[in-house]
Amino acid sequence: MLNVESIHSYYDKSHVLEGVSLQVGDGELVTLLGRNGAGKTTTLRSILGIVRPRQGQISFDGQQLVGREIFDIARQGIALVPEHRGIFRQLSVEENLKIAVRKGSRWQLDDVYSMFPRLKERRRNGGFALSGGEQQMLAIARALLNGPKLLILDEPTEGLAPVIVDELVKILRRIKGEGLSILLVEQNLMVCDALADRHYVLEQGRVAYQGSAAQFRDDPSIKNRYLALSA
Amino acid sequence: MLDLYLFQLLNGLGLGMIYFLIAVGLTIIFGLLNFVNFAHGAFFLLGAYLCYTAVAITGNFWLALLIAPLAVAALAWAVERLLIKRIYHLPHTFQILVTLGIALIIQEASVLIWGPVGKNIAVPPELRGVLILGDFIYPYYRLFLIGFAALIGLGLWLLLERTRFGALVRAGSESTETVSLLGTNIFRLFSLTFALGVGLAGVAGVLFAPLRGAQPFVGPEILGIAFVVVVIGGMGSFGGALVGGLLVGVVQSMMSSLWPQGASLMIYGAMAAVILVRPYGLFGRA
Ligand SMILES: Nc1ncnc2c1ncn2[C@@H]1O[C@H](COP(=O)(O)OP(=O)(O)O)[C@@H](O)[C@H]1O
Ligand SMILES: [Mg+2]
Repeated sequence: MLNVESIHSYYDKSHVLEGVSLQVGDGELVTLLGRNGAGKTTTLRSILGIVRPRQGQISFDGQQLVGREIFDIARQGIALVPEHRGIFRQLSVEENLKIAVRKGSRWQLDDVYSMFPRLKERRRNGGFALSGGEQQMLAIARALLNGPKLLILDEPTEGLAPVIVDELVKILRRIKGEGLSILLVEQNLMVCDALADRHYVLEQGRVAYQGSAAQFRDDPSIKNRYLALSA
Repeated sequence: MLDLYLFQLLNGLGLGMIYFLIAVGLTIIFGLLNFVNFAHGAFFLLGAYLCYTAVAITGNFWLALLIAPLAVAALAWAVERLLIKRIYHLPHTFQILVTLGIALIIQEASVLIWGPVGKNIAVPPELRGVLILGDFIYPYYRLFLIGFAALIGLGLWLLLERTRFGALVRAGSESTETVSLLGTNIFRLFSLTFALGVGLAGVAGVLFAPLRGAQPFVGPEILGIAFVVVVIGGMGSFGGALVGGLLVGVVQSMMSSLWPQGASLMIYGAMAAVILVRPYGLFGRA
């Protein structure tokens, strides 16, 4: 469904992605791993048109994405939960959700409220008043309302307490269970192992490794070679 | 004597509501688009002249009050699509240069069309005459002005705080990128917001017209006052534009009976005082 073919992306003159290719199939959960600064966020930003790749192709459901506007790409059915969650501080929780509601979406306001009861309790609170975990839940709920076929998350567990991380894993498993494709950037390898079908590892703007969940789990040398040992 | 002060206070409130309408448009545009619109005063001027023409053709001020602001907003929308959307990414100094150019074009075109001498616009017949309460006398039109501007302000507040469009404008003032990621056509939102903000200046121009007429060179003065109001109230703040507008209007009006020459001095003095105490304005955020 998503096919990224050797894209090259830059910030001004600095060449950050040097030919990244990856695929996400229907209903698959794929992770994108790599050390800080490897280019994971830039890859996601390239898919969504925030950064325009200077070379390479990105197609989604048969449509070419490179060169299109961000909102146009989002409307094709790709939702990004960004690194810093992108909650609007001056808007209430409910307003944050309502501006994302789309008619054709499988998830409507009631659905995400039953999935995240905490958000319903806090629906009149301002976005600024939420804890990190609540912000992450809100960002995911908002993305679902937007009616995606592919959900992309950039380090959703970063900075969250272990209980919240467990909750998040359950929620992602449930979303995956409903057939949504997911591309997940994550540093927490336990989370990745718990959810993923396949993995890609980026290093210095190139895909250094790709493999199935089983291959990845059984080969500790990969983790040592490409990833921080913190996990 | 007390009546005189009350009279001037009310005048100040009316003037202040006009300043509020101008400044709130400026501040919404700045808040969402991070764009400095130096043509704002010229669009105000255009509102007054279009009111004059609409009244001349239809003979109906109420129709003019409807048509002229819509025409100003439509022109602003066209200018945004043709020109302004190409310069959002440029530094503020460039934006000032371009919008100053637009202001001059509007001003000179107005002189060509309507002549170098100002035009008078009559108070609509329904609002001629004065309210008499004992010793106190006050023109109906000025009372209407305060009430009507307050209604527009209320409508605008509801639009910004209670509708999806308003939520998108507020969200966009935090991050246009995140709004785009939710599938909103940000360019359309920009055009509409620009037209809305400028249309408010058009409304102010129409309301002002029966008081002072349409004057071809009033644009820069109005623009200056609008910026003072925005600086006092805080960039991007609705409440700030209201309080700042009323403050400037009342100060200006009271001074005109106490010390006419010092009126602008006081306004800029008030602005300097506010900046010293609260650098981001009364309602501004860092
Ligand atoms: N806005 C930016 N401007 C310039 N360089 C950037 C910018 N964002 C990221 N970079 C650089 O691009 C490289 C990849 O960053 P990023 O994609 O954020 O990595 P990751 O998400 O894997 O940690 C890093 O070297 C980073 O310093
Ligand atoms: Mg990152």
